[in-house]
Amino acid sequence: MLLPELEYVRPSSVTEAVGLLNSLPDAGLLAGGQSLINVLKMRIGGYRTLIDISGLAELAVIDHAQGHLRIGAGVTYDQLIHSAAVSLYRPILSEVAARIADQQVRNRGTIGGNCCYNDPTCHFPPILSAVGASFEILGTEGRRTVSADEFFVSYYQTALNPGEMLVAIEVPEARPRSGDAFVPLSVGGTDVLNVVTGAASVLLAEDGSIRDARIVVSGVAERPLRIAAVEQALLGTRGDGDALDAAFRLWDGNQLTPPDDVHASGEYRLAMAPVFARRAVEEALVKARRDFDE
Amino acid sequence: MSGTTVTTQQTARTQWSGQSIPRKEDERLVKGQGRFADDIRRHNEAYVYLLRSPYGHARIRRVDVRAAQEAPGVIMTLTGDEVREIQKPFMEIAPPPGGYIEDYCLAVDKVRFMGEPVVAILAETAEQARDAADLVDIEYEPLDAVVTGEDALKDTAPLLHGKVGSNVVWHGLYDWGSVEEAKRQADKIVKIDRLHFHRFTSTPIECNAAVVEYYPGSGEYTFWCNNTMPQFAAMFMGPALGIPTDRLHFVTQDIGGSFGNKITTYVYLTICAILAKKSGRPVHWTEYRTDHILGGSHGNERTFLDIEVPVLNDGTILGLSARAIDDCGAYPRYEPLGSVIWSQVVPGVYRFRNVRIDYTQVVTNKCPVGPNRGYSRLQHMWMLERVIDIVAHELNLDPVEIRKKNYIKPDEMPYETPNGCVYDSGDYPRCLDMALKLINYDYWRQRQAEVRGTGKLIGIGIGSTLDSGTNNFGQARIINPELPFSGNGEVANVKLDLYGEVVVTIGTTPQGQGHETTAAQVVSDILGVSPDRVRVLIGHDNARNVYTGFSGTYASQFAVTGLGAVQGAAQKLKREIQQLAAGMMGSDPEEIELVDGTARVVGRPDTAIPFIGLANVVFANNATMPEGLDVSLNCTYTYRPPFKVPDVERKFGNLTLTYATQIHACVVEVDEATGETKILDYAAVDDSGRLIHPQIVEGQVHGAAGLGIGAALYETLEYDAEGQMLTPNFYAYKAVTALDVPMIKTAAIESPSPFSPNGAKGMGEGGGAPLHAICSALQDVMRQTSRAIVHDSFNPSERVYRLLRQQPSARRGVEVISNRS
Ligand SMILES: Cc1cc2nc3c(=O)[nH]c(=O)nc-3n(C[C@H](O)[C@H](O)[C@H](O)COP(=O)(O)OP(=O)(O)OC[C@H]3O[C@@H](n4cnc5c(N)ncnc54)[C@H](O)[C@@H]3O)c2cc1C
Repeated sequence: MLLPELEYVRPSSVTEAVGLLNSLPDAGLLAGGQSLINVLKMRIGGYRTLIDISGLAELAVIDHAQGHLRIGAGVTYDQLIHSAAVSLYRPILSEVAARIADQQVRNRGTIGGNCCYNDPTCHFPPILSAVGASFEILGTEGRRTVSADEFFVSYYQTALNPGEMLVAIEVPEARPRSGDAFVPLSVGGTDVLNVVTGAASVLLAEDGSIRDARIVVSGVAERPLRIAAVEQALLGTRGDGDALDAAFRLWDGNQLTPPDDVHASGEYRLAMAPVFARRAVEEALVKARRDFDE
Repeated sequence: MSGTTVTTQQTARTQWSGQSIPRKEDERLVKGQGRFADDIRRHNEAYVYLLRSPYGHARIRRVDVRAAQEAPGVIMTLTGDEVREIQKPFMEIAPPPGGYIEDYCLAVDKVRFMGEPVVAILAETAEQARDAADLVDIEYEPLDAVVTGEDALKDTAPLLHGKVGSNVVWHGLYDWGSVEEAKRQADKIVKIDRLHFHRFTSTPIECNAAVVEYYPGSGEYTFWCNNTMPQFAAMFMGPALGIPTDRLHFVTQDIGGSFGNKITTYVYLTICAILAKKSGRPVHWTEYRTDHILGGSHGNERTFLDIEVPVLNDGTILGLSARAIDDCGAYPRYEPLGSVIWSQVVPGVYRFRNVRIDYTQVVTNKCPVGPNRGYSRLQHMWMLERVIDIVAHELNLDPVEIRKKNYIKPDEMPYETPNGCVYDSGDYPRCLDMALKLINYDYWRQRQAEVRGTGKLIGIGIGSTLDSGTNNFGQARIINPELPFSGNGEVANVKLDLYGEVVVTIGTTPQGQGHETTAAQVVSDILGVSPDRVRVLIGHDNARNVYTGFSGTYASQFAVTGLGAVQGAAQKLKREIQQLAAGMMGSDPEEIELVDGTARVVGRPDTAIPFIGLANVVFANNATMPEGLDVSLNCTYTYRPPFKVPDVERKFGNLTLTYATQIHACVVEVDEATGETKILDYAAVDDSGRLIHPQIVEGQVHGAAGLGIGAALYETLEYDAEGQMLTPNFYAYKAVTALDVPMIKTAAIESPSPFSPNGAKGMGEGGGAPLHAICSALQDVMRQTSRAIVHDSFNPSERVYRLLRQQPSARRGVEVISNRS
């Protein structure tokens, strides 16, 4: 399929990009283009002007300081996979990036684009919610930072206002005795179309009990869903089978209206949500406990 | 992804045939030097864009192309109203009333499937043609759609083609032996309400494409294209365009996969032909993936109803009766040939002799179907394999034992089936044993018991299937007695060129099957040259190359028809060379042997004349031709398989020449909580008769297995009730990738075909074995849990999840009736 006729601009700085975003009519940001170009090809909406931010070096930087990783919105999956800092301080992000599509897509697709696109099958929204990421946003009014819970608003919608762009994502570094996990239900072979994804991050106390847990499931609601009741119930337990059974008994999907489509019925998604959330917790616990074995 | 090939040689090896020599075409293809239809460039080309219907079924009230015609770069537009004036409806294969269907290259009055081309736009660039399409204004009146075969038969169903009076394309009763008698003799009758074979396709990497040019001087159209059965296309296009078919000049080169899907592109080629003539410009058309999925060619969807299977208590199956409803989409095109082609394999690999199938083919508001790898036989054989497993399941019999009990025995070969097909050779029990050994059957049976209760379930499945090859086109008469077709054949030319080069020409359209290599192997053995020295010109070119009406690459036949023709032509050339050399050396032709590109008197290397010397005499020095000789060194041979016209009344006769075997076995692990199915082990044992190139055969086995696995677990073409296609791109149509195809262990045995010219059997389609094997394995999982019946050929996680949870009180759709009489 072919793109419609478009204007294309290539700013040389983030400030210029924000300026253009606020001055050009019907303009949108082009990052890796791995989602946007497909949408444009279908001619079901989109922009008349593309502001290409894929060449902005400022956005392609990964820093580590004060217990946090700061990942530029323009960092590609391939960069994440090969970043020593990410592998050292929050390896789950490299692991998740490595699962996305194929090398060509990973060479171009960006973590920022993935979050701003915010499709329910996207890999990063659930895991970034689980690791407690925050999102640095730049607009003409200046910078602001929002939490993952605030950033992902609804299907294809984020906290970005018109004229704002995402510049970076901050992720706290993994702590000792913590573990992260990402467990998707793919309906098209290997990690193709993940209809439900469980993501979890747990932190154990010195005695091995659960000190903190963030459990997220995506694919059953308009945004990655934190399962607070289950998280609460697990605190202080050892996360064994009985504790998980008890905690997941508190899962209540009755209020949810999951997507219901050719890939999976709503009913099935609902049934799968606690299964994958729990598997993510179990896997995260296994990883967290490794620190005790050493 | 390599496996072990345990070929047990049964036939004598020659020097080249039977060896896995490096493929001649690979260097070009891996270097990106192949020439595909879209690579063709003609001076002053213009580009075609097809605006397609967004509706499944709608009346076209008004089409306004004025704005589009004025858009930048637009040369012309073409609408259905114009087409109606220029084109006669394409021929229909079905007799009336199904034959009253009117099929044009663009929608006329109505659209009948989402994706049907409605307006064609020709512009200076592909982008301009696409942009102009947005300016076309069409007023549609949406109509109710029908999207399932069963619904299409209801009295209340919307009619697609008013002139037909119903949605039925073709109906026929196939009845051999006596099912009634078998039911009387049976201990039990197993009744299955409904089995559904889903719609999917094979997804060639290269979509359809063509560059089409019209020469007013001769009235000839040239199609540089990737159609894989050009003379079939010509048969439809000539009358439709009102021109002799010899004005249609097809040229094919490298083709990026077809699996049968590129046979019915004549509809699109006709659009291009009309535009090329009207505009006086060469026109270039390339499908995008969404076009291809929406409007290319889908596989047949088939529903089997009221299946009744008379059986003895020991599992002996006496026969089978069922109703089959085949859904061919909005226009039949290649259909209803599929309505007879399934009967090449009526009993599958089994011995039962009483069969009654009430077969109906209907139209629905979905993309037209076309031949698709395993075409029409895989649906039927899937049903048979389901029947075997369901009978075993219901009667608590062992799925291996029931197969062995019912398999046709090797000493019964050649075996005549109830409808007169003659299975040439094979050893099914041996193939099954090999497959079971490859997957380590005993180990997994033990593991299966051990893992129960852990949340994982293991299932072992078998798919026994045939790949029938080399059609007797006489079977078309069973559909329509008026059709003037029978037999089959291919033609080849083998010659020495001016400087003694060996050149082979065939009219086939290979798409990865390695024809250049295998043809060279055959010629090399006969002419005593190495395959490097044999040039094989592949591709169909009916203005330059030899061809027959059957020429093409489809239906598992090249090893028999193509190589049969090459062998015949090479032998003719060999005789000419022997005569010439004998004349030149004053010896007897029988004494001449061909060695290393020379002809010499047996055992006398000093007498050798190189091929260049022989060619010189014939092509440039013919006053020296030995007295009384008349040789051309240019030999054409048409291979004709030994077929008779079938008995149309009894629907009886030999419908294919060779029957390759594929027996697959697999081990799956199902996650009880989610229904996810993972393949733990997979084996494919194949018997394609004498192997010309074992590695090419193994490659075809792998490819067919990969496609089958995709179809079984991920790939489905789905429509909603309005006929909206829900899976029109690679986001939604989850084409299988290399990551999802497990290690496939392969093995082969060789039961030479007594009927083919070289002992080989056609192969490549694979008979859908993975669909059978995976369903069989899932049935084995259900045996341990809910006892649900695996009733659909498509089993994504969600369906497996539901089957696992089917309540004991739910209707299982199966019943076992004891016969007291
Ligand atoms: C074959 C294929 C398979 C894929 N499979 C998967 C998969 O399994 N899982 C998965 O998660 N994804 C998958 N994707 C999508 C891929 O991950 C995309 O890269 C991602 O969704 C978007 O990132 P991008 O950098 O390409 O953004 P683009 O496509 O360029 O942009 C996407 C959207 O985000 C906006 N945007 C981009 N950057 C910013 C920014 N800094 N600030 C504000 N707005 C911004 C754009 O304006 C646009 O609206 C697949 C893509 C392809 C082509």
